[in-house]
Amino acid sequence: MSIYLPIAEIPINIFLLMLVGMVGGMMAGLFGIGGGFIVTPILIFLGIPPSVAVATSSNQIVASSVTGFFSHWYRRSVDIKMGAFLMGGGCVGAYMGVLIFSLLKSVGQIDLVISLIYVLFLGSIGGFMFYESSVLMFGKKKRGKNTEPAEMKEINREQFLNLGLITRVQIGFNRLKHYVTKRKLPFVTEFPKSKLKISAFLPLVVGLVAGIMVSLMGIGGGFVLIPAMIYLLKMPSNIVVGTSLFQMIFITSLVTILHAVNTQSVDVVLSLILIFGGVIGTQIGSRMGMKVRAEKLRFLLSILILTLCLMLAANLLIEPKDIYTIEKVVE
Amino acid sequence: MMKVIRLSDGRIKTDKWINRYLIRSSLYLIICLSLLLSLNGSAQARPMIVDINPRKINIDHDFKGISLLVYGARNDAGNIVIVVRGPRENQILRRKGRVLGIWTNVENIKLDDFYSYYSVSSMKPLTSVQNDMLLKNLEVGLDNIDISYGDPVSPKKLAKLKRSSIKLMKGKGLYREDDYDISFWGETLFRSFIEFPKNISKGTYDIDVYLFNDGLLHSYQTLPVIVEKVGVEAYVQDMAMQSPALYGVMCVALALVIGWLAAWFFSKRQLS
Repeated sequence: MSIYLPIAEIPINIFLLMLVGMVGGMMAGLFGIGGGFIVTPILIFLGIPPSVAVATSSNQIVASSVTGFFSHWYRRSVDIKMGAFLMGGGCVGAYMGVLIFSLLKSVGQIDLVISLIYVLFLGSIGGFMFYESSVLMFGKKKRGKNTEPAEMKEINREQFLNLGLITRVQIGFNRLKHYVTKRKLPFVTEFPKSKLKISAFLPLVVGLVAGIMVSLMGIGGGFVLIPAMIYLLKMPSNIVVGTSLFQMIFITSLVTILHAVNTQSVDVVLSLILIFGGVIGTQIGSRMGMKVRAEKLRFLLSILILTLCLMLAANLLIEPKDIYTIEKVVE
Repeated sequence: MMKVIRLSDGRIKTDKWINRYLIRSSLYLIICLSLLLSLNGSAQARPMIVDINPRKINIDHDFKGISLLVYGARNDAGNIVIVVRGPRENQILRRKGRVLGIWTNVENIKLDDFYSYYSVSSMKPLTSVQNDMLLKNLEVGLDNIDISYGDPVSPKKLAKLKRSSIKLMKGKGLYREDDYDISFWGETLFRSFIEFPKNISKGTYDIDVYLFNDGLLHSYQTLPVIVEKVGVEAYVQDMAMQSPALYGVMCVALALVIGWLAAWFFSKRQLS
């Protein structure tokens, strides 16, 4: 049974879309990540214009983050104050992201940028998950030596350039972490729930970066926020997920409204189908999660992510059948 | 007193009928004259009656395209050509090129007032009209469509751009040209089916039927078809375009409510 999507302006099979929503929901139920970064590229492959896919996914994430937020709220694992600061930065970031989005759309480069960001993201996340889960699954019980190579030791420029790429990235990250956490930044604020006393700039900046990603990629931003909250802000890990879901509700709501106003690319019919699929998928996912081994699932997920990444990359690298495309201008 | 006249076929008519006859014939004369004037005297207006079915196309949630029947009668020899032109839209033609190994849009060309749909069906190939100038002026035939580009381009590039724009539209099923696509019953009655794919735009489509003979336009008739979106989809689209802020808020509100309901429903089930 096909349904006509009024904003995407294409008819598409309703069950297929439900299935996509369910896959996204299963990710959430299984791994606690909002499946935004899986759902958006799949929608693009189904022929939905990338701008509509991104704007509509953010509307779907509003629903899934509300559902997730409530279960954390009952367990009192939400830091509202921290969430509010993250949200402040997030709102600015979301607005910036939508402006970038409109600008790129008007010069015809939005599809390229969305694809490129996704190739980079899916590639790095998928690669990391694949490596991690295959090590866990196929033996190699060798413990990581936990060497943080030459971390805070002062090294000079020549030494730095002689190091391998990964080591250099690690050193860069450590320096950033050091700069961010040890430096005395102004506006120190107390966050009682997280038992933290840190500069208000930190959550604002973290929120800002996540906000830009929400509006550019149509994701909830959880997989940027959560590591940043744990490693940079040093929040207790039991309240991290609830807090990120809390601020995500507001950011994705804002992004949806901004996209609706600026790019007119939110498809309410599509988002409703995805939401229903997602609700069912989440329940299936959380039940499946109790029965199947986590590494196996991670392994499968990493293959799915890498496949999506390769498909997107192939689209960019293989010569298109027709170098011309034509599209309507929406005023 | 009522005047009574006897017609050649033996029927008897009163003057009341004559009055009506006179009014009607003078109306026909006015129509014919205005038609003649509108064609700049390039053709004698000869009756060619055409009609279409349906006159209105509704795009609803399971619209899969439609065939429109064009039928009519001609009272003179000649090549009948049916041209359907969709509403004009601004479009952008993008050319991809390789930048650092990645295929991306390197050129964006604006096409102003571009037909969103164009179809030509003819009895015999258009070359048999033997008046290319006339066809060009009337924009009959895919090669004769006027495309105006937003920025000035060289004639050589223009031809290339035109070819690729038309090829793309043909690929989407929105442009077509078919010779020998009009079937006849006897010498007078004709009909043809025009295919509208599922991705047509809304608006008014003009169905122009031409009768060409000896390199001249002998008769011409135009009929409009209105293509509309109906149902919930049309309502949603109008709202998204006309009051985007309200629409956005509504989308968010729906998502919030559904999310909350899902949380409530499943938390209750887990407790029981």
